[in-house]
Amino acid sequence: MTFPEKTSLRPSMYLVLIFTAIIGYDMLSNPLVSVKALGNSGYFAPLAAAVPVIAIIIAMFALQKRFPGKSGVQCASLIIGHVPAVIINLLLIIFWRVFAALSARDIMTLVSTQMLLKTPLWFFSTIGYLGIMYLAYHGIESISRFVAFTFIPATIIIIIVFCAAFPYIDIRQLLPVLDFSITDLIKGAFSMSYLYFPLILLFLITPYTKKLPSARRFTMAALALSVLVFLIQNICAIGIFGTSGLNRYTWPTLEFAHVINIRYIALEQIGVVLLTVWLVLTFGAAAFNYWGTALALSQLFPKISYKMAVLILALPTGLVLLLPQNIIDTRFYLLIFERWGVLAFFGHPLILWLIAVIRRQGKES
Amino acid sequence: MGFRSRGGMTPIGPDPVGNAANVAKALGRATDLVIRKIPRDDCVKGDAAADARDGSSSVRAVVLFLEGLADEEAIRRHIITPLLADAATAAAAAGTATAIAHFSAANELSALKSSTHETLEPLIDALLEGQVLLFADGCHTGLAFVMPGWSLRPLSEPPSEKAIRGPREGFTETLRENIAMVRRWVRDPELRVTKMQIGTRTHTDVAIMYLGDVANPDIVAEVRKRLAAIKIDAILEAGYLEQLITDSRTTLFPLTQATERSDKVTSAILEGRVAIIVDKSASAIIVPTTVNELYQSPEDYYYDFWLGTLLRVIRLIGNNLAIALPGLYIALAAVNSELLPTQLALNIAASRLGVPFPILLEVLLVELTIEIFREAGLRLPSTVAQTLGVVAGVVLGFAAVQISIVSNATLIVSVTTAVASFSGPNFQVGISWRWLKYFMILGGAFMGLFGIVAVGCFIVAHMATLQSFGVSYLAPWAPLQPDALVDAPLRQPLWLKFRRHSTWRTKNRRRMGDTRGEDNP
Repeated sequence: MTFPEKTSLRPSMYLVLIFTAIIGYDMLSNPLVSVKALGNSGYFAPLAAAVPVIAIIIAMFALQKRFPGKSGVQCASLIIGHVPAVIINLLLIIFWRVFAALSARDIMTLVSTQMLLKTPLWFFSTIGYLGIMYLAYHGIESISRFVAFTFIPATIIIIIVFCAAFPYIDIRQLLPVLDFSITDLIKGAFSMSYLYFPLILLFLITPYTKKLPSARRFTMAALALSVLVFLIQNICAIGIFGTSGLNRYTWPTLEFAHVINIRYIALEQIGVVLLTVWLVLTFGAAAFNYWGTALALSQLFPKISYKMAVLILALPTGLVLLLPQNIIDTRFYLLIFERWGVLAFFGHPLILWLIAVIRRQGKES
Repeated sequence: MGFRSRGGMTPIGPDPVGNAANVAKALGRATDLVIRKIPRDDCVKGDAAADARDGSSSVRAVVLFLEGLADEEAIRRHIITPLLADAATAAAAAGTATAIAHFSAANELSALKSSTHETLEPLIDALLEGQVLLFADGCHTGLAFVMPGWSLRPLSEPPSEKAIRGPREGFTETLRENIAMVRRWVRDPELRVTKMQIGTRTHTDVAIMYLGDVANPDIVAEVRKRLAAIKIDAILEAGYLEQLITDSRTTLFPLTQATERSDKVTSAILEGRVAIIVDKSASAIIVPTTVNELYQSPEDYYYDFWLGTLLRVIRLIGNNLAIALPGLYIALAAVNSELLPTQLALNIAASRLGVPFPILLEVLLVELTIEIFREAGLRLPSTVAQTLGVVAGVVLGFAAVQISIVSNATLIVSVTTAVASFSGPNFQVGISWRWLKYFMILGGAFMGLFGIVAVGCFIVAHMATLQSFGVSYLAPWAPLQPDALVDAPLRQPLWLKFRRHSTWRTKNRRRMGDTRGEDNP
């Protein structure tokens, strides 16, 4: 006996959802990638990577404007025909799910090393994944509510932890500023672009709003906020450990949080607070990703209902989650996906939009 | 009054039935409005032909009052009986204001406090205050008699919802008294009362109360629909309805708000929510509800902003302690002890020296004992309850620590949890927290801090799937509703409460005008 809720996805929810999706994916290890690309000036990498992403966001919203009420998956059939659309969308879904599962595995390994050395990884991974599936099963409204509930406290705590690290920064580690060539910057932007892969979710959530311009503004705000978080985080990590020091750690953000020492606080390590809070964001982000792939699957094959799609994806996701032997395996596969992901996550919507523009398909503004 | 402000003054017409219909219309045909028509003497005797001949109304006078607000015995004795008596016939039938006054003076009515009015609006105000109205045929004046009749049984403060400040009245088991209690707060003709009967055998009266110009009509319609859909033989308590109209029948959380406090119901109605009152039940049900509402109390608004906010924050902390403290204790003491400051970890370890049980068993043992004490305490005679509580709590606790069955640290955690679980004003949600506490304990024992986070995520995820009559259970946190969020962890100052919260999707959100104090002339 339910009475439909009328809250739907307000434009402001875009900020919360997109921010959580980006931050909840990889916040703890990205300084490693940024220093590899740009050295001491690595903190520019997330910023540089965000610039082309703006074009992708605009393309996704433009696509939605051309085909109102249709998701990216549904647009593809109208633009390139049913069979090619099924093939490329299916590839995207597989790529996306495997990537999400590997990212989840990376996080579970982190939990294992930081919190649960003695507990079998499969046990708590399964518990965590069941929770994510449960939330995803109930659809976007529940996911958005979960994310909205956790967004404010989690973001505040994360920013406080980062700010608490400021006194430990050695400014010399951050110098010289702008010590890179344009080629390095482009390479850095390319290698860091994986941080924004979750933006592919816009492909599916745009049909849920009618106020497109506001939604686009809030999406941009979410991007700006996440870039700010990445920037502060990279400045802290590089400033505290330096380029050479950073390479020693698998999760540098967590390590710099460990350095923070606040006397008389109940917990000995502030890093655990950061990890705990981030895990909550990750939970919401993972459910959002799961929802995206399940919805895409159900739209691709209309005979499969959304809830059925959630269940269909459960087993393969679980297998991929438990497949890697250790963190080296996980990172190896993730690296492959991060390199090729640009084509799948950003190329896909951009190419569709370009074809639609060239062939004058959909509603011309 | 609201009625007057919405239109001009309505003069009283010569037809008493028409006047009564106008009053009924103004009150939205409230079902607790009693309209008693006094027939003309010749009509009583069956002389309808005479009535038709002179073209006058067959009704000599109409008496109106709100059920439960006026003393019906007094009305019968002092108004109805004299009107029906032969002695009064001539005077009343004359149909003039003078005649009515004369009649009033000639009868026992003169002993009552009364007033006369020539327009409908002040009479409606008087009616809403609990006075009895009298309209006479051909008379352009209405009479209002003060005949209070609502205190039929002594009212008492609900034992589970005590407040330091605020009214001491709780609902009783009589529906009309409960409705009258709310009526006494809200003297607004827009207060709608609709009754229905549920239960094929008990025919229990159920009343739906809301503000006609504020409450969301979709929500009101949904409440009516769900109540009408109930097919059951008996409704013995409001709890029956709660279980039958809830949005989710399997959840641990209460998706309706039950209360025995009339001020809480009134406050909810004024916010634009809908109250369901059940005859023979001292609990009213308020819908929709959110988890945010379940730790708030009208008492918060009886104090100033600072004190009200402090109370809310304390309750919030209390609720969180009640659910998470034992689990967190196990997680930090047994699984992730490296996170505790060294001295604290050593102290806890020292206090557990000699305890033969693992910490999970120890905590469960103490928690279970406290649950038994709590349950037994409810049924113990009040004269021995306190003594037994001291014996059970202090003596038993002390003895248990002495013989190392439990540690001091565990005892501190469990007792703090037990006390904290009473910090919230809602008993039902307190039970939900008690249940969830055990999930937290298991999560903490098996997966340490990660387990606490995982169980916490599960709980919030489950709450995110819930809604109450179309309102998100996590509102105003999710979806984010900034206007209502200001009044969530803190207590919004009254002088800033200009609008009703968007949470309830009300028709009319305006609450107050620009109320300035001396500081802001």
